[in-house]
Amino acid sequence: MIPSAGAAQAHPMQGPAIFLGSVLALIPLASVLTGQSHWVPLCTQIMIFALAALSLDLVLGIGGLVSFGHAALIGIGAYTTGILIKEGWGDTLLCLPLSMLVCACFAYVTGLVALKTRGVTFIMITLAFGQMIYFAAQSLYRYGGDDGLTLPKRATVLGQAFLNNKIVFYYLTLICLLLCLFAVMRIVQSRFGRVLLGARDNEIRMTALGYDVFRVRLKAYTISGMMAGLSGFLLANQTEFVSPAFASWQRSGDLIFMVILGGVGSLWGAVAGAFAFMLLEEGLSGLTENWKVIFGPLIIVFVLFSQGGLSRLLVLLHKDRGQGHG
Amino acid sequence: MADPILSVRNLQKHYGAICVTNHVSLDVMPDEIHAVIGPNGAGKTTLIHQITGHLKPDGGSLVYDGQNIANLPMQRRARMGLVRTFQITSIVGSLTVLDNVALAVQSIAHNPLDLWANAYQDKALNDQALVYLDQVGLAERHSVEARHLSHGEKRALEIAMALALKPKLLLLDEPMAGMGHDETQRLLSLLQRFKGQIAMLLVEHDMDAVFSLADRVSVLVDGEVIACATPALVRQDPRVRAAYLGDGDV
Repeated sequence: MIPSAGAAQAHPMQGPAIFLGSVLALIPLASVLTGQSHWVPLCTQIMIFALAALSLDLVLGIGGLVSFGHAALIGIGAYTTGILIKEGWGDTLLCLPLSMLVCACFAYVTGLVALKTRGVTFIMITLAFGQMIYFAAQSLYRYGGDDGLTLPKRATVLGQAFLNNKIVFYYLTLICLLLCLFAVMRIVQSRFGRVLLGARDNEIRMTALGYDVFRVRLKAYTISGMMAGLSGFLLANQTEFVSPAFASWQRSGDLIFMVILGGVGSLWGAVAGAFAFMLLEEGLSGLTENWKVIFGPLIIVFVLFSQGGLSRLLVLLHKDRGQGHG
Repeated sequence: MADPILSVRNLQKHYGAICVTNHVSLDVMPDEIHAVIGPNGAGKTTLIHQITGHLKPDGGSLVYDGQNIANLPMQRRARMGLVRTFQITSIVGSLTVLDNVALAVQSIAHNPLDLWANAYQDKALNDQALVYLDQVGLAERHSVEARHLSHGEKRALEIAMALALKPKLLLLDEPMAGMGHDETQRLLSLLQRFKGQIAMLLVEHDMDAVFSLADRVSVLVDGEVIACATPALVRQDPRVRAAYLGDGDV
């Protein structure tokens, strides 16, 4: 019997996560050996979005809440960091926790409203909150308005410019990603995570069991927002630039695609999905200017036939091997 | 005489002009099984929904265990031991049978929403859950995904989840519906075993089950309680026969 998606999600696979982490840890070495120096910044950026996709997977995959405003949280995190740096408060020890805190607060407050709704209404409300941030960022004239804000430098660490080193920044991003992946895996398998998953399948049942589903979801939403804020901090530093486009609904859509591509609720799949999505984007945009014409159908075909993303493919492959074909 | 565990007074609920609960009053004693019978559309499930907090009554009072519960949300009532089963089985299909019951055990355990420790390998939770599964005869099915259970097994699983919440009052909404003869007998003897320990409010169409289990029967017709007495008396009540039991074949 093939375990259902829900059963698999209750027990996220650790193997692929460890494998991904190991490969990623070796990328800088590989890039030095092969002379492909652009690999490091590219992978850094992908890992930042992987982190955001992972945080989305907690609410979307495990919680069953299709948030269409997740990029807004990256935007808020990035702007918090950007503004602090621009105003001369750019130390990581301040920027990092504050970016996460502001995002957690935003997620909490918007969650109070959005989580009262279900289905399409929830999608629309999160989209509206996201657009609110997009337009708010555009109206920040002191911080570049429409054009965005170019940062004078990256955040310092205790006054030292450690993060200017590409390799150091790469590993910082990798550590953040792996810590978050580990944390989300723990949360999913915890009592809290089991209630969150149960409420996705059967909200009334969980309420009848005595759980306050709204509070549980709000907590998950806030944790997720906090992690997205972390990715915003990293993104602002990596690009040394913040722009309203970080918070645009297209970006939110990209994040959802990454999660679906990797397999909803599989956690490490969100990371794999981010890599697949962004490498494909990178590769195709090098081929032709109209790369989206290929990209769109490719993703649709993949989602249609993989039935649960990259993670599902791996499970099925594994199963075939396990049965040994007679 | 002991105080009732549940006391419903003058409960009212309207859907537009239609009155679905019309000044309903009934008591459930701590050691009794109180059945509610009535034709389809009499408002039985609506009554249950109001007692559990799923629906808000338009008027009247609900006192449970000495407390006015009319304004408490559903989850608070459940945690107070006011536990229900559903007319249409309600389980978490993608989790295993054991996990379903463990979710119920977890709900009244210390720290039910712990964020860090692995819940699925929590021996204390799982051991307790197994005890309840054993009581309903599902112990050997514990590792099956709940959606793969047969209808009767899902019903039994629901009962196990309800028991795991250590109920003081169990609201059973047509627990025998859609069950085969053997399954019905199994469930009957299970409920019989808890008779006297857990108060029950039983909504049921299976008259044999009602008359063999219940201490008292309330008859609900068009949202109104038209009779409340022992099964033997209710059976003879001419109004009941006219409204519900029909041709006297009971």
